Amino acid sequence: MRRLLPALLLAACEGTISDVKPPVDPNGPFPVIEPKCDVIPAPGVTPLAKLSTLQYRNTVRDLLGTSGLAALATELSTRLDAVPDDSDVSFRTLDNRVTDQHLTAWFEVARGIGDSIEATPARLTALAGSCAVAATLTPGCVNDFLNRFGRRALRRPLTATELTELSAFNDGVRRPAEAIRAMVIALLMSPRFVSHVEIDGAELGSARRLDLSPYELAARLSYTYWQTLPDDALLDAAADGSLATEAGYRAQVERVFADPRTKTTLWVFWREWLRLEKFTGFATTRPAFAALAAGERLDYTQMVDEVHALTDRYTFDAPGTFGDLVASDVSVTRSADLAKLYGTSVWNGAGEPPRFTNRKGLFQRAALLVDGLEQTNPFHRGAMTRRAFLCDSLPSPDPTTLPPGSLDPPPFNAMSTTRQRFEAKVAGNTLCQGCHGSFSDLGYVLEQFDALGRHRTKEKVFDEASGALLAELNLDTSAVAKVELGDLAVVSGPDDLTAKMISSGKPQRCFAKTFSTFALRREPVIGTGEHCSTLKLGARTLTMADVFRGLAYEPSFKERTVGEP
Amino acid sequence: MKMISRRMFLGGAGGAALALPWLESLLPKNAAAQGMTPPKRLIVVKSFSTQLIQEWYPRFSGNGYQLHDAVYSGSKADGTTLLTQALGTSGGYTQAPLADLQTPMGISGILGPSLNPYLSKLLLIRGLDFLPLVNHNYGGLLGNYGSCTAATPCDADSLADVPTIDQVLAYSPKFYESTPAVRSLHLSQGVTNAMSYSNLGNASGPVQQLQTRTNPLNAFNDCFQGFMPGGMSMPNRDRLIIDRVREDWLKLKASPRLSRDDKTKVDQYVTLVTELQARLSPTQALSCTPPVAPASLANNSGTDPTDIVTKWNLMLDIAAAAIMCDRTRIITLGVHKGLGPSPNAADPNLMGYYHSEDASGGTWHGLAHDWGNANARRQLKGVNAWVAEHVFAKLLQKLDVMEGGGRTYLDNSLVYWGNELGFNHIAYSVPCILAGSAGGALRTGRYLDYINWNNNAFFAQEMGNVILGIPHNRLLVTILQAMGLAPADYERGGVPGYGSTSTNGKAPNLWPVNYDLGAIGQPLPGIAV
Repeated sequence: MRRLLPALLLAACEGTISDVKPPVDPNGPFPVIEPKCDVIPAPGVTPLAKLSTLQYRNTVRDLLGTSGLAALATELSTRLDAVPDDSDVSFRTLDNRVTDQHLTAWFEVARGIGDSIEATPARLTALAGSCAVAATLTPGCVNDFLNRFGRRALRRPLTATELTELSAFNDGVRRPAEAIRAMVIALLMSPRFVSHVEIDGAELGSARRLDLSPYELAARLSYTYWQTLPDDALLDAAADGSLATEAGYRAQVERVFADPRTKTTLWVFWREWLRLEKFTGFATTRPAFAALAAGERLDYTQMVDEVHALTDRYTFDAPGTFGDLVASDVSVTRSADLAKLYGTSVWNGAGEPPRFTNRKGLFQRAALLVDGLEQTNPFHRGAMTRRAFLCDSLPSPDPTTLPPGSLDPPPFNAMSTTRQRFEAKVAGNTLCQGCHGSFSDLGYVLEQFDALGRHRTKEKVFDEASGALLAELNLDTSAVAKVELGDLAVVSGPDDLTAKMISSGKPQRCFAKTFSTFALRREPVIGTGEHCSTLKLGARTLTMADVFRGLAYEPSFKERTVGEP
Repeated sequence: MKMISRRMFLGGAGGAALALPWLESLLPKNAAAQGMTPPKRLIVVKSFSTQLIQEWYPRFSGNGYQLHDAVYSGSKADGTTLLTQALGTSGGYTQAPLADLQTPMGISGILGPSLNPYLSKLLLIRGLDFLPLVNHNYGGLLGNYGSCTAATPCDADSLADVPTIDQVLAYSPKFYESTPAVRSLHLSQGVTNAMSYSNLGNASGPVQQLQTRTNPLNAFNDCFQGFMPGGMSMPNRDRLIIDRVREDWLKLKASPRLSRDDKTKVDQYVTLVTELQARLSPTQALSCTPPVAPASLANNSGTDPTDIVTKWNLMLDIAAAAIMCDRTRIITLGVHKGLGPSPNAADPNLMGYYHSEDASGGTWHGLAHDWGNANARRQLKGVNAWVAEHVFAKLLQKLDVMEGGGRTYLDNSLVYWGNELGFNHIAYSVPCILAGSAGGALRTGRYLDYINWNNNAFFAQEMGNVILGIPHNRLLVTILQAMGLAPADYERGGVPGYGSTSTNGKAPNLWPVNYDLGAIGQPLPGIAV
């Protein structure tokens, strides 16, 4: 299980998406707040947001590519890399900070493009036509360039005012190439290039509720599914009005979804949701870890590749529901090393993949279970399951009320299983159990898998310093997992947990909600249009492709709510 | 903000240097060499979780010194050196010359022999307390206490964010007379969120967390791209284009379809565009030797020792050169990664450590939670001793070269190494060691203890204890004033001092809360020259 959580013991106790209140009574039900969706409400407030760094880099590359300057993007890779990466604390698209590093990097990219086209007649010609290399730059040449390049860059045609203002760089003093350079830099530093500006649509009964304009809708589609600017087909559909029709819109949504760039974007979603970028490596120099991993060839990349293949399979190749993915027992790894760790065989990509006999589902894959150290941390595993996969919030502990030593790890004891040591840590303390009672049991069930993600029937205990095997202890993977808090039935093991999770419908709703957060760059707020969409898309019968694609068909996708003036 | 070009600054302060046509003038090696007062700089090194009491503080006895154990019992008998020389006139504070505590192994287990050459330039400070109730946090050591990590929220999060003091300095016209190449440079490995928070110089603007540079090449380019040592940059033709860009942002702001928050965001852009334009103005650069541009080394979440060491070496080179070339006067280094010993004490090889949110046993973070385990303490000490030698001391070494006027770059700087928390994740007596005197403002070479050991010990753990110390806010005031600012330059809303003094959430029977807030606007007692 990847380690989403921080502070060891009290980890997880923070809220994220919360239509579920924290438990007061660990044996009581979560009080679910169901919004009223009989009248489709407005979407949540959409703030003015910069392009994410991924979107910015893609946008520059694609803009250059469609302008015949693909090679220039490669030449500018160092400058593009200088745009600060967005924070991975949550989905990167949610990071809306802008600093001097952004401005400087954007400017250096714009200047790099401008300098190159100024210095290279062939590139100037590719961008602005052969008229741009003439002794003087005609207004027609400028207009043609701006109408073409400007429309792509700003994701809509330039206004007459913008045309006039940008054309002013062709002042007779600047050489033609210099004038085009200035126009390029100004366009690439424009707010409409570096950020998502959605202010051009019609009002929907209120000055704060706006229909997206066709061009804005085209851009929202492309940035949601491709993480880049709209292509000419989308812009043309906005221009000719077809995007505003139901059939035209559907045709574009389906085309966009079928494009390979959508697949790339969805992998970004999975990678970030499942925290696959956060792994800090295997502690191979620790004697105890080396002993645990003896005989294995560990490669985290192979584990991640397996998740990639699995999510692609259930989205595109053999479409299924999210429940199908959570319950899947197929093994799609192409790695002999990972297959050995699983005790299965390599899949060659053709025909039916082999099936596991001792694990089920997405959450029981090595990439999500592996710890990097020799011991599992059931608190981490449980908290991640509760918070990330069931979308339940957990209360924050109050450090001032914790007894001394609460934050210290359970003491080592060669004769106790990890579960026993962790249980002893919170035993007898109602304060600790109030929170841990809602997630630790989920982790205890997953003790069926060791820190490498291997299925096990005994827990091996090693000496930290020497790596000597000290004990092999019996496991207990039964627990009251409380997938739904009112459910006090005992879960017998990981397979039973998976079945309970699926039957609850919670992971399916969590999946839809989490994708909505990723795609719309904000967490759905209860009572808003996107929250109603989330509930609808969380239906357990929808395929994952339906969920991903379906977001674009939701009414809230086509609107914007302006924040308080 | 009034923009003053570097050239104007030189003319105003140096006079004769610009009496000649600038192209013909003999370019000064640095500010001090031409008779100017050298600029002051602030460099902040931050390590994470905590320091072990008995490894961070001296445990020296003899030569007239004894341990607390000789005088106190219970948790106050913590095995560290008892200081007896009075510090200031009240408060029961004490001090000692660091030279008195020197041994061939350094002054403590962590502050080892690599720091011995600099003892006369150091200030080791004990007893600084964060008043707000924090957990793991980003900006506490620089004054934004309400900045706990998302993973470990805290009571202090309810406090409004304030700019960290480095950013107060970064946008002060007293600190930067003109727009610098880089207002502040933030470096780290792994974690990209910086310890600094900024309103970008807009007093009413939102405060946001800054981001670090993790790829040395990006840090290098920030500081030295287009830099011409000893030369005057040419007028930049792009300044006029930026006028057009600013107009675009202002037009957007005028839209009625932007919210109040959106317009505040646009204001940020306008500020940044204006800054960008200012940096395109002709400037006179100091004559100095920048480092060679490094290769691009991407950030990662791994713990490869070679990668860690290579990046720190490059980052320290860039940091020192950026100071000496006056490309920036503010640098922060978030030391999330370092090297340390293996769990196997017999293994002489060092391994990589990464302090992240993960506190599993064996990680840097996990070791800090596992203070009851002797082997974990050995490793944690080793990691921090590595930081002391290979980051902190190495930085001091690079800066301790003569700038002029009998002072080194280090002397004219203040290097502050701190932590996010005190012992065992408690924000009392948070670790602090300063180097340099900020141009002679501080009296260095001492160990200052702001704990009155006769006060009540509330809580004890990890061989440490919680006794009323002095508000960390007063260190912030000390630094701000040492850097040349007056209270009016940094105090907010007429409130003396800097940073929140709220102790909300701290039960008075569990934690000391009765601080002398009457002196909250004053520097630390007895620290200044």
